[in-house]
Amino acid sequence: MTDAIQVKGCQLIYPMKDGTIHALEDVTFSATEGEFLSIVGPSGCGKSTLIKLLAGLLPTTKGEARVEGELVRGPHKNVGIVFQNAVLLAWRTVLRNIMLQVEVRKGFDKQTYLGKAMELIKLAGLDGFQNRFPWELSGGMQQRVSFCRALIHDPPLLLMDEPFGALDAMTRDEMNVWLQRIWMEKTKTVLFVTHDISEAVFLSDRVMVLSARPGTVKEIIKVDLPRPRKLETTERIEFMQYITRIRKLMHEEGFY
Amino acid sequence: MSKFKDALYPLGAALGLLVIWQGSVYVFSIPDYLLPGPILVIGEIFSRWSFLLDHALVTLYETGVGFGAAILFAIPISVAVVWWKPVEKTVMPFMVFLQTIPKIAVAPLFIIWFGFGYFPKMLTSFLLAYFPIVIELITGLRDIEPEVLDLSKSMSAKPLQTFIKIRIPNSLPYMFNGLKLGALLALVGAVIGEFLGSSKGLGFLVIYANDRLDTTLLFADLVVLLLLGKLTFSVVEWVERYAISWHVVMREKEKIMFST
Repeated sequence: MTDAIQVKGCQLIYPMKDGTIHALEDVTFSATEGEFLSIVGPSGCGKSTLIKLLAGLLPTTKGEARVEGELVRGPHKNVGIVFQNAVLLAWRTVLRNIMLQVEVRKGFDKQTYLGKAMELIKLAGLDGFQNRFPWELSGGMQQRVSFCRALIHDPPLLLMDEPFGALDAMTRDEMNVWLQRIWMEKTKTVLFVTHDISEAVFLSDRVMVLSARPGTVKEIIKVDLPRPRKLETTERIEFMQYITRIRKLMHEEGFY
Repeated sequence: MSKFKDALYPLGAALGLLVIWQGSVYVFSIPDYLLPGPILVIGEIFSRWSFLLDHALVTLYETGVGFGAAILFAIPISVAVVWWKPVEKTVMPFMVFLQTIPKIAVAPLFIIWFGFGYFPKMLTSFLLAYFPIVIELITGLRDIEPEVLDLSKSMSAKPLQTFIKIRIPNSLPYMFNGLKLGALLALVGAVIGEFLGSSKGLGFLVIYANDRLDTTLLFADLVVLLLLGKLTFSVVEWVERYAISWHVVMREKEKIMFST
């Protein structure tokens, strides 16, 4: 079985007005089919860059990235992205925002996907909101719409760039539980960037810690906690131990 | 209900001002040729309404053509500027340069070139109106969050798809701001054109009444001009409400949220 994600010796150097930014250096890791892998690391360590690289939004300067065994050369069909902000179009209703993905991509029959969109809306607990506009929704609901948009074309890989970073703590907890449920139901491979260690441990099969810039893989920690995890799981001693361990690694990189 | 209440404030203030105006004219016995009272002005409008309407229609016609031309010019120019870098580099310096010339100063030249007909008025109207539309449209076509462009790119969108599905709808609220400003400036342009040489229109009537010290007619004319300005502005607002209701409703909701 091929790995869902394979990253080998990736380097990324951005050209800037005055000099360059060395964002990533020799990043190597892989994720198996259906795995939930989180990336944590100090701010500016290239977490988001890694996401963009796998989405085909940025080219590597060295090394290669493969998704579903295919070399990433540009934007591709195997991926759905969720950003920190919901990034919904203000002039489109919830349903039409979700449909944007299949409208833009080639080879999707809109009629069939209209039904799929409605199913996703139900799954996201947005039933009855399909004809509302984004500003009529709370932050958490908006983000759920953006998850639906990332899922509509049924990509094997979901890339998430701090999707709950803009939400308040309560909504965040709720969304974490929700995301775990969706992930267990849909069996997607997820690459999840966050700066919240507790969130990473709660959701992930493995947590990858990146070093300070230029970002490289410092350590990958397997999280051995039974699923489905509940909010009470966060009070367990093992959970705390994972957090302490990851925090220590971050501390070594000059974070905090 | 609250909308009706909101309207009461400016209406009340306007009524108050009118009362003070009429009162001052009466108390200080100001002669009509200096400052006619509102009652006299309103009387003038009613007694000479068909005369005023004839002139108003001329100005409305010039404004309409000037404004229409400004829209037809501004849309393709803005799209071209945003779509092709070379067009931007070629066109934008000219636009800014032209804009720095006071058009009122150039207007007499149009009389020499094009005579006393409608055309020079339409031209000044056009020249005043197009710039805000172009500037707003270009801003609207460009002002997209980087994340939205990333999203679009991640979906393998072609540049034309991004333009049609994202840039154009995004630009519409901006365009309507430009159109509101443009509509008012188009009217100003037409009136300025009429000042300089004409025998018809509300701008002509200002000069005509002024020459005869017919201040009452002058005020009546100004009121009609004001109504005409309000009319053109409202037409744009009305079209906006239908064309981009998603934005208008959102804007109004935000206003309520911030005011409470």
